[in-house]
Amino acid sequence: MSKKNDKSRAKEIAHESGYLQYMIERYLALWGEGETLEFIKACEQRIPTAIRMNSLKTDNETLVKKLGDMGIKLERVKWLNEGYVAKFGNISPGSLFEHMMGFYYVQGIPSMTVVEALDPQPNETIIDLAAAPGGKTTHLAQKMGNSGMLIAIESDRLRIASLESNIMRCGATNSIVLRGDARKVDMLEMQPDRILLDAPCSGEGLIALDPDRKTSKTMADIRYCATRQDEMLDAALNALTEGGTLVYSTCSIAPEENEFVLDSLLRRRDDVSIRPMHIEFGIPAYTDPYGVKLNESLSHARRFLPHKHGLEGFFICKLSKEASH
Amino acid sequence: MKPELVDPVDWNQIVEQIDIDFGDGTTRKLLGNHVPVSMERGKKKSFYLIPARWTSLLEKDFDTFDIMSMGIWFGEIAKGRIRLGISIINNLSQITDSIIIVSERAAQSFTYGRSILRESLLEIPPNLVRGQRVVVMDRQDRCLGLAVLSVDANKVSRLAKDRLVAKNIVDIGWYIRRLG
Repeated sequence: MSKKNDKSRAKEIAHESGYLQYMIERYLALWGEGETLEFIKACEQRIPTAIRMNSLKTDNETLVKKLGDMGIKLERVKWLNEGYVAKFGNISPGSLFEHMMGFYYVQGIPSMTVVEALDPQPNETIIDLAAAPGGKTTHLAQKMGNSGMLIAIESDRLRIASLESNIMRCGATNSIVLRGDARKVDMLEMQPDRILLDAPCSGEGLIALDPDRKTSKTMADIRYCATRQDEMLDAALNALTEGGTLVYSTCSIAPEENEFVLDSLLRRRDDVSIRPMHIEFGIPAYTDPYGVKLNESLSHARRFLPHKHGLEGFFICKLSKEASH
Repeated sequence: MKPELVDPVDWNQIVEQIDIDFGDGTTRKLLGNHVPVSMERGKKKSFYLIPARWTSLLEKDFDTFDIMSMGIWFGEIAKGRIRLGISIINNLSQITDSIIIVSERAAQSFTYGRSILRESLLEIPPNLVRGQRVVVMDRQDRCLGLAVLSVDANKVSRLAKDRLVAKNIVDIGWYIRRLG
């Protein structure tokens, strides 16, 4: 199809589906028409509710029994020991005693997967950048068995209230909450063993949860996010100890906020490499989005896509900082 | 808002208040191997328990970052009175006998910030007195929060069923209400 025809078809699809035209143009270039239509259809479907069992407060067996007694069905996620798809029926997941007592956290499966990919270990020093509302922070704490030191950084004062509330509810006792700009994390001089950077993004993977996203962000917004993501990644890698691990993730399907950001990182830094992950999920990230050839090691990063996995769109990449010789 | 080691005068006051309500040695047991630190927050002072090896952080320069909280939130002092944090109450329930047990219905309404009436009270130790703070639990051993008794335990049986027994101080519904 010619470029002119592409544009005109994008305009038609955008009009029919209520998206901005630039989004559909990108999807067509990335996937072709068939997959673009599948994506649009998938974004109209409800994403299943998922919960994470909090091992600081309970165990899988007890939680499954307690919720089961209330008629709530749990189905464990294959690659997550503590993650479940949960059918609450008419019960609000946040209203139960078990929730108030921190036995579980209502959280998307991709968000749980990010922490699993980081593979936090007891007694380490770990930094969670852009930490609010605390889903990943509390997951890190449980993986660390409340040992070591978990530094949760958030810039927004209001969001810190929800972060602290969730830390307390889930019984995380190894955390230090810092208010400040994650782009200055290297000034802290903490030499963390691991860093989780779930970067602020345009949210293009969350259309099923937030239909307004079909029209709320422009290409300039995506570029602005990508610039901030570059800055945060550089600061995080400067802060990370040599030989340390960083997981970069976004809830965006935009290659501009994911593969292109990492490809650019690999071009400007020679102390970092993309590593394979120890768990199997999603599909490999793209190495030639829109026909642009990128670093082959990006195939170690993974994507969740609404039309392939029935989940929020997400990107997860594990990086390692080389030890100097 | 920089954290600092707790002023011994403040701490003695806290120990006295907690141990009167929950039994001698309760504060020491709550502390365990941790070190108490404090942070000024306007007219209030917040207290946290941190591992002993974190004390070196109190001297550290955090550059442009502000420490908002660390370790376990123990509570805060306002107008000379310690108000225990919700996150410490579960630990407290393991080491004190100052506990009242309430019905399932009362447990539900307690987590919405309501207080405890005579008809909802299932168990109360006879030695508890008016003005004393108590841990509120349900029959399934779930720790729901803290309340202050509005009547001596040995007088409860004389009360009408709709009379107040214990006033809610803090409950686990706070986690949800705080988020609006």
